[in-house]
Parts: sequence; structure tokens; C-alpha cells
Amino acid sequence: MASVPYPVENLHGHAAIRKRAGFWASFVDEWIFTVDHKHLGLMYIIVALLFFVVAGLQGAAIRIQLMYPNNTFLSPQTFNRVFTMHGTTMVFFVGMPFIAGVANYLIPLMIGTRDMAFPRLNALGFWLSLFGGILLYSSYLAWAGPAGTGTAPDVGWFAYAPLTEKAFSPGSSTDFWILSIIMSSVGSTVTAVNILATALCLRAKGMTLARMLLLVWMFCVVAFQILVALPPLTAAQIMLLLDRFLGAHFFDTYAAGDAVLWRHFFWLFGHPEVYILIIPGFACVTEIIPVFARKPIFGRAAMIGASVSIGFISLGVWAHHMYTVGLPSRANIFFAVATMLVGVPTGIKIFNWIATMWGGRIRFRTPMLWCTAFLFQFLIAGLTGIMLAVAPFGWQLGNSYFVVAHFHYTLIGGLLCTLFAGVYYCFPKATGRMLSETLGKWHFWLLIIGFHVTFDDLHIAGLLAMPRRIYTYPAGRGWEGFNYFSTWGVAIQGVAILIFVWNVLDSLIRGKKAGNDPWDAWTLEWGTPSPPPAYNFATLPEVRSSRPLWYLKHPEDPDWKYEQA
Amino acid sequence: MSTVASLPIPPVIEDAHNFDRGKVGLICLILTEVSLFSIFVTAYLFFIGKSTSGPQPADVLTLPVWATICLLSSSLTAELAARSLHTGLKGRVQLWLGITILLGAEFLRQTAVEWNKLIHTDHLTIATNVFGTTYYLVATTRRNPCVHPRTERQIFPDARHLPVGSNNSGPLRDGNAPIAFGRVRPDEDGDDPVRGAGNAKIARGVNRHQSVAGIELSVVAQSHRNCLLQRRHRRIRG
Repeated sequence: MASVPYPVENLHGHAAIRKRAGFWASFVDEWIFTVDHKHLGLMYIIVALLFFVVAGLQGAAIRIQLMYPNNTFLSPQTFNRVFTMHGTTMVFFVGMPFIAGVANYLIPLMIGTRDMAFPRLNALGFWLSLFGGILLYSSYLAWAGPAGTGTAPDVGWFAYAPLTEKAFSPGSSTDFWILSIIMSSVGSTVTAVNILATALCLRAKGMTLARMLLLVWMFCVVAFQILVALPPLTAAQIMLLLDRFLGAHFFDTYAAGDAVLWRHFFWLFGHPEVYILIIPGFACVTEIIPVFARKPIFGRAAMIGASVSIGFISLGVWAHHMYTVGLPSRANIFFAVATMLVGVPTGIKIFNWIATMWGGRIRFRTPMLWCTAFLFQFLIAGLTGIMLAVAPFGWQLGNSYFVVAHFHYTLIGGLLCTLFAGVYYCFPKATGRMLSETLGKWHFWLLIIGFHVTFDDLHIAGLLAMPRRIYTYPAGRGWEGFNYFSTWGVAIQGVAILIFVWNVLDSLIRGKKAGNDPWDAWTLEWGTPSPPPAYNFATLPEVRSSRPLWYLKHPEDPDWKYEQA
Repeated sequence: MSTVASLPIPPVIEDAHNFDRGKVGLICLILTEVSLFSIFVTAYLFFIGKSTSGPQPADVLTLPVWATICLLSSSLTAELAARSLHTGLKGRVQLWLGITILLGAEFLRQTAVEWNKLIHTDHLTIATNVFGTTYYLVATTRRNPCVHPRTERQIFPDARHLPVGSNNSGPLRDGNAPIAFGRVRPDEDGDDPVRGAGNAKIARGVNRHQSVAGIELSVVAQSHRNCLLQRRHRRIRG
């Protein structure tokens, strides 16, 4: 194995200042006022994981309530609050910060530069996201109000108007929901600006767009989608605020306002959001599978094309969430066809990942295990997605537990698995220590088993017409067994997450030293020390192919024999 | 295994063809603003002719010729200011910027007069009917400030041909309103949620709807920042 290709000099000054300043002062200096992309990236991920625990507990509470028919673990009001907070937190304060963290940490390292294009904007984005989350949760502290309508929002993460109008949602809880999400959306928007500006403007010498890593390409697509798809939500929320506080009539159906308009605006954001969340998962898989299959990615150009086309097509499929609204059948047909069209580039990707593994010398370390599980689970999620895209089928199963099972398959079976893959893959780079393989495998198998026990049965409960968002159900509908086992699945997942937390804490202290390049990878970030210094690269690297470290390690077999520049 | 002598010749390292980050940042900002305001405009178009009561656009709106002249010429003067910036003539920059500010102030005055009439004489507020609701939303947020006013003119006359709600009192009532002009304003207050989010740093010096001039001004600021950054990098390298 080659030594570190980019020699690192010790930067004097910074450490000395830290020594002089004392612990708290340096902590504040290093973590609160930081504009370093690596610190911000880690802070994003830590925040996301904390919110993940909270929202995961809320999910567990939902499952406990639904474990038996006529259960009284949660009151109907509390149940509504819990499922609203679970969905909102998972999407806006777990998924979004996590992908922002991954982007922040990896993109500058992968394109060979020292920081994001707008470091202070970057810090602003982080703090807005964090305070958005805190604002949402501070709703619990709000006064309950005369009608007991305060505390946490209970309108669902979709907040369908006119049920969110003042007449139906008095009190301040809905305002907490609106304002916290506007705040974090602004944070996400500035992060997206930063991602695009960094990837397009700060690449190392020689790294043309054709040689840019696929992860960075995919994050560019995500950033574009954020820029285009988040504003509709913000706009709709501004309208809702005007309705609630100034007596405007956007969604007030008594004064010619329109309830369907909210659903259009919300899902115009909501569906691209699904891709905003899952494409970073694709990005992680695309970087990890080649390294562990010891082969370059199959069909690089096709991968880029597929990502970009997903980015565009996904902007035109939103109304497949609205089959039950009663749109004209021409609209339903259009959105059904458009939705199926998204399956084509996604299929290309799955084909390419499998083709990359095909004939490779696969090493099933923990990151690769997550990626392999992702391939199976995401395929199933995609297939149930195609089923729901068929308008008559979607019309039958819309608002049933089949939908719940489908999107948890994409978000846990797809996104969460890939993010764990990314964490296991990049933990050595970020901390200098390896995560334990043994505990990692326990974590992996328990989570996968728990996940399948939880959500496989919910497909069937959905097919048996169990509606979503109900706080309880009568006995004798045939749903009891599925719900019972589903809740036990959550317990297994909980154990898996505990093992993960233990693994992280333990490895931080006692983990095996990672070295610079524990996976024998070939992208630029592995050419830096672990953890990378504040300036990333002592000398900015120069790049000759899409696998910059490969030709330094294997000068006898460089990529440019096969690659067109 | 091949020897070093027989290695294929590595490709020449050419430049990565990087773009200017000030420009990319601002284009992203414009993209996201266009997305935001197109939703507002969609709401406006969607509700045309659907008001069930209260004043209709044709009853209360007139064509604000003078305000439109102020508005459009302020685009021109801002552009001239940006161009003089490149020539380095400080006095000329100040002159054109001053004229831009004057035109903007006059435009705001016109708006104040117009709104005073709308609110106190015609009794049209945001809570009156869906016309009031959408009118004030689109007007206060300056419709889509990043799109050039010319585009605005192309968008809004089309509204006349849109189908009208059946509950409207007369055919094409809302659609007849000459509201195509005059609501696009140079925005000095920066009250927009997306811009308020701190993109001010990229877009400093940008007069809201004069995107071309804005890009140029920010490019100047950007090149200055690039110099600082290079200096910092040099320091880091030692």
C-alpha cells in the first residue's frame, strides 16, 4: 500500500492557541464559532442522530399504542402529536441535517479543496437547522391554552389545510410547526447553494466535471432539487401564516379558498423531498460498493445521467400522492406515467451497482453489508412504489398501512441503511478510529431483522385495509397479529440502535487506530490524515483520473489507459 | 508488470474549468427565488375571478404609468451604475446610484398613495376576498423580483385569457385588470424569507430585481474576497 501521497506539515499556531485559551474557550472557538466544513459536518450528523433517537422513540410509542386493538397507551390527542412530531422530525431534523452533514464533511475532501465555497453561510445553515428543530420542540413548553390546544403540533407532517386554519387548529402549535420548518428550510437552501458553488467552483486542478466523483455529482442533483422544491413549501407556509394571522383566504374554503391547492403545493415539495433524501443514500452506496468490490463503478456516465434525470423527473410526479383527491383522470394518468418513468433511471442505478459487484473481489465488511441490504430492500421499496403509482391500485391503497410500509422501506431499508454504511465507512476518516466489526455486524443483523419484522407485516395489514393515522382499531379485522409482531420488530431495532451507540462511544475511546486509508480506497479524502487537519490538504492535489489515489498506488495500471479525459 | 519506462503517458493536467462562485451562488439564489415567487404567482392566477364578494380588480385597479416608468428606468440606472463601477469613476457610480434610489423612493411613494386609496377608499384588504388575499401577497413580495420586468409583462397580460370562475359577476372581470405593470419594485427592505436567510453575503449590493447588475456588483465583491482567500491560503501553506 502506498504511503500518504500528499505530505502533511504540522500547522503550528492553532494548537498553541488552543493550549493557551483553556478548554471552554477553545471549545467555543472550535465548535460554536466554527466555519470549518468538517466540524459543521460532524455537528450536523450529531444533531441528526440526537433527533433520530427522539423521533425513533416517538415511532416506538406509536407502535406500542397500535400493538393491541383498543389500546390506551396514548390518548388520541397525544397520538396525533406523536405521529406529527415523528414524521416532521424524521424528515426535517434527521434526514435533512444528516445529508447536509455528509455533504459538508465529504465534498471538499473529495474534490480536493480546503473548505466549502461560503464557509460562514455554511455555519448559518447549520445553526438555522438546529434552532428550527429546537423551535419545533419548544412547542411542548408552550402554554396549553384555554381549550387545551397548545403543546406540540398535531396536524401531521403534511399539515393539510384547511384543517390547519385557525378555526380548526386554534392555539399556537401549528405556528410552531410552520415557523420551525420555514427556518430549517432556509438553512437547507443556503446549504444547497453552498454545495453547488463548492462542487462547481472549487474542484482541484485536473478534476473536470467528467472526473468529479459520483457522490459529488449526486449531491449537486440534490442541491438543485432543494433549491427548486423547498420554496413551494415555504411559499405555502407563508400563505398559511397569512391565513392564520391576517385573515387571508388562501385555504379558507368558505371564502373561495382552495384546500386542494395546499396539497398541490405541499406535494410539489413533498415528492422531490423523497428524492432529496434518498439520492444522498445512492451517493454513499455508489462510493462504497466499488471500494469493497475492488472494481471501478460500472457505467459511470450512465450513473450521472440517471441521477440528473431522476432530479428532473421527480419534480413532475407529485400528484401521485393525490389519487384519492379526485383529480381529473387525465392528470392521474399523467402522474402515473411520470412516476413509473422515475423507475427507469432508478433501475439503471440498481443494475450498475449489481454490475459493479459482479465479478468483483467482494469484501463483506460492515459498510458493504449495509449496501447489500440496501440493494434488496430498495428494490422491494421501488416495486411497491410502482404498484402504488398505478392510479387504480394507489386509489385503493392510498392512506392505508401499505403506503406506510412502502415509504418506511425506502427511508429505513433504503436511506437509513446507506447512511449507516456511510457512517461505518467514514468513521475512521473522521475520528481516526475504526468502529468494531463485531458490534457492527450485530448492529447490522439486528436492525435488518427488526426492520423486516416491523414493516413486512404492515404491508399485509395495509392490504387488509388498515388505514394509516388511526390511533386505535377494533379487534376482529385481521390486523392484530401483524400489529403485534410489528411492535416487537421495533424492540429489536431499538436493541440494534443501542449497540450502535455503544459501538460509537466505545470505538471513540478504544477503537483500533485507523490509519489514513483503512479500506484501501482511491478517492482524495483517503489521501489525508485521519482525522484530516483543518486545512485538509497541505498541498492542493492534482487529479488525472476519476480515481485519484489509484494511480498513485498502482502506477503500473493507471485509469487513463481506459478513461477518456 | 510493466516497467516505469513503458508506462502510458499520464494526461496533461488541465484546469478544472471552475466557475466563479459568486456567480454560481447568485444564480442559485435566483433559481430558488424564481421557484418561490412562481408559487405566489400560481396562487394569484389560480384565484383570478374566484372572489365571491367585494371589489374586483377591474373596479379598483388603474394602470400606474408613472410608477412603471420609475420602476423600469431604475433598472437601467442601476445597470449604468454597475457599468461605471468597472470604469472606476466613483462620481459617476454615485450619480447613477443616487438616481436609482430617487426613482425607487418615488416608486414607493406611488405605491403608498395607491395602497392608501385601495385600503381606505375601496376597502380592499388582505381579508376582503381572495382577490385581496392574492393581490397583496403578490404585490408585497414584489411578484418575482428576480425575473426581469419585461418577463412580468409577458406573464400577466395572459391572465386575461384564463378561464373565469362561474361565481364571478361578469365575464373576465379579474382578468381585465391592468395589473400587469407597476408591482415589480426595487426592493430595499430585504423582507423576503429566502433572502433574509443570510444570502445577503453573496448578494450584497444587489438591487433586488436587477439581476444582471446584481451579478456584476457581486462579482466585484467576489473578486475582492478571492484575493483575501488566496492570501489566506498562502499563509496556510507557509
